[in-house]
Amino acid sequence: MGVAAVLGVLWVVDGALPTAGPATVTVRIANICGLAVIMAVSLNLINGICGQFSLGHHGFMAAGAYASAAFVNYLGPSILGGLGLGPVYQSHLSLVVLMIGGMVAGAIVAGVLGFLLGLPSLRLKGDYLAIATLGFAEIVRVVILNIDAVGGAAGYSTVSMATFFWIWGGAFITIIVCRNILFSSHGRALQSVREDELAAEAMGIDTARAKVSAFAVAAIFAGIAGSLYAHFDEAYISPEDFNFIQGVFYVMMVVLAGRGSITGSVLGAIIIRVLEEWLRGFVALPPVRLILGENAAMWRMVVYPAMLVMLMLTRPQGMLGTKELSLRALYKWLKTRRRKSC
Amino acid sequence: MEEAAQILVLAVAWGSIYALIALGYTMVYGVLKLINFAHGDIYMIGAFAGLFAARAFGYSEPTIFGTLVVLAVAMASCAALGVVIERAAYKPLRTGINLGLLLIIVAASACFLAALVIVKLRTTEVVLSSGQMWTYRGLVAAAAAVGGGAAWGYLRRIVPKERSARIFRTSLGAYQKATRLTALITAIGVSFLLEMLGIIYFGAKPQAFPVLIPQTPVHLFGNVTIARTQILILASTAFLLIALRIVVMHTKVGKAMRAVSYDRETASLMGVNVNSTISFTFGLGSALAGAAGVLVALVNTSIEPLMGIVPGLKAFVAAVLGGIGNITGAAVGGFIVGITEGIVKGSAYSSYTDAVAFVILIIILLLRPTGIIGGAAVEKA
Repeated sequence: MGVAAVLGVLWVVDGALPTAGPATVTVRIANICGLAVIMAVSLNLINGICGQFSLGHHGFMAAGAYASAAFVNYLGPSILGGLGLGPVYQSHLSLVVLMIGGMVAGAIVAGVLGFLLGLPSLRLKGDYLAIATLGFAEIVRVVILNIDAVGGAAGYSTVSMATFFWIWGGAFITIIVCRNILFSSHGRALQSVREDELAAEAMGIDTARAKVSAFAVAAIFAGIAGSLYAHFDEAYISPEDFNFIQGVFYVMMVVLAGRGSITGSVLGAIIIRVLEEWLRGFVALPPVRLILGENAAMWRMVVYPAMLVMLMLTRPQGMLGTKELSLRALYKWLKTRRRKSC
Repeated sequence: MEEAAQILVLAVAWGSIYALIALGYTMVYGVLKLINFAHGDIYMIGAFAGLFAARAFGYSEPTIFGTLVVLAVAMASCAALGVVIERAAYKPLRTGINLGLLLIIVAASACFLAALVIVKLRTTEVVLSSGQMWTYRGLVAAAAAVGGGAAWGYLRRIVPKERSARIFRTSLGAYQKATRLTALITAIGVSFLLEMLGIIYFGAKPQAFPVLIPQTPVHLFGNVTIARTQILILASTAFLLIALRIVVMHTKVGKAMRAVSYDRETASLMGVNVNSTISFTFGLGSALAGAAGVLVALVNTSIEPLMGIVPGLKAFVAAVLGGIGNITGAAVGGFIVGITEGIVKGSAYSSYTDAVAFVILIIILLLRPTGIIGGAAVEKA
């Protein structure tokens, strides 16, 4: 069906992508954007659609990343041997098996953690929940730091196999699933929890189940993103990759383009990542370096919080608010414009 | 036994630091119902302000007078910074922001930067390639366009009608929830901003803080020693706590603070200048955080721009533990967190020290969200 067709197209595109030369930089940026899209869309499920405030999404990503890496490193060879596929780099199929296994491992571990984090969310609101999720992500990071079996502070190396197909395939699946959740009765339950929890309870919606499920599903996708990140590019992860600052980036993506809008989160993720790359080049320009002085490179990090504060002061619901970008809406809007000018 | 006493001594010192920072959190939450994420970074700024004061006045060996001057300067600068942050970032959330003025400020900064670059190009030997020159010209043209457009729009009143048009008014009731999260996100943004500016202006490498208190320990009993710096921390904290209590309980501003945290609308009806009171509260809380920063710098003698994140979060836990909005609670919570951390640090699980505070947080939020001393929480219907 449609899903298989899109995945097929992605596979073909992946095959056609250059593996050397200057275009690989663009491909790398595209892949980074893809990872961010998965994180932003899944975080949007908690923050935007369900109305809770989670600052700890990077904790799920960390858990998924390390679970996947550990799975591939420790269980990979035995599984491949069991299936008779031989060592890792010998066949494409073995990579596919490992990648799927890694993603499943990451998804399961992160999903369990998401379920566990969803439980305290039942009693916490707003600010408290934000801090609790933040604290949770910190706990995850500190625990990982202390597990020597996955490298601890020195970092962990694994097989590099997450290519364009896997990352954007994952992003596509995430968007499809979240969209289906959003436009289903379950999604309406989540939105009702966002709008007015007491009224939702009065209407017979199990708010506890809604909130916990939002956390769990979002965590599953964050875990998948984590596992993709673990096997991406140089396939080297360390607990510092999942610190608070990275977590704030994901929150920024969701907040920038609208809490509650899936197209918004996709846009937000892409905008923030592309902005990051563009800023890197911008602060290297001589006129800019002249003004900023020696520390020019760090000034690009000032842009994000300044942008966040400005956004909160002028348009707190983000660019799209809870609306989605759709072709139908665009067509209707164009029609009204034309009518006005007559 | 003596080891336990030694650990306890260290823990109480850290507990005082957490208490000082937690007081700022709790006071701001009391009047604004906002968790000021940037508070930990104000603590960091206090440490650096103390460093620059020590350098400016040339203090490098132990002096009591020097310590007091450094403390005073740090507290004053942090108070000022707190007020500025409140006026710039948190007040517009309550009263709306003037869009026209904002555009003018952005445009003026852009023009100023353009002029700066022109001046620097004339005075340095940098030669730009033609592509870069055109990029630069394009940027200048864009800045001029934005500036001109904003000025024209503002003067022609295209940007909304009245002179000080306020966009985004907060309103109570249905929008309150969204507003609080907006404020929280703004606080996160301010925190981030302070950290990045700290890295830019102070450098990411840790800097050495001059030793203004002799490091020779004082013997208490048996083998238990206490460093003079720790005595200073305990003494300063006690003094500041007493001073704070006097201000809050026995002065008019303190009464205003209590009134605003109890019921903002009615307080304004009773003639309390809510905006000034909130600014004052911010200044007071920030001054305490600044003091904490200098005290920690005196102990650790090494400060860096990211030093405020973790103590800030732990102090927040302390504030919640004691009942957020409750001043005595913040102090009590600070000591409890400090002592628990000290015990964990001295035990076999010392690598998990940083996680202790968050575990305490989750436990207290699950069991008793209003904190140890906090009153009953009103569930908004």
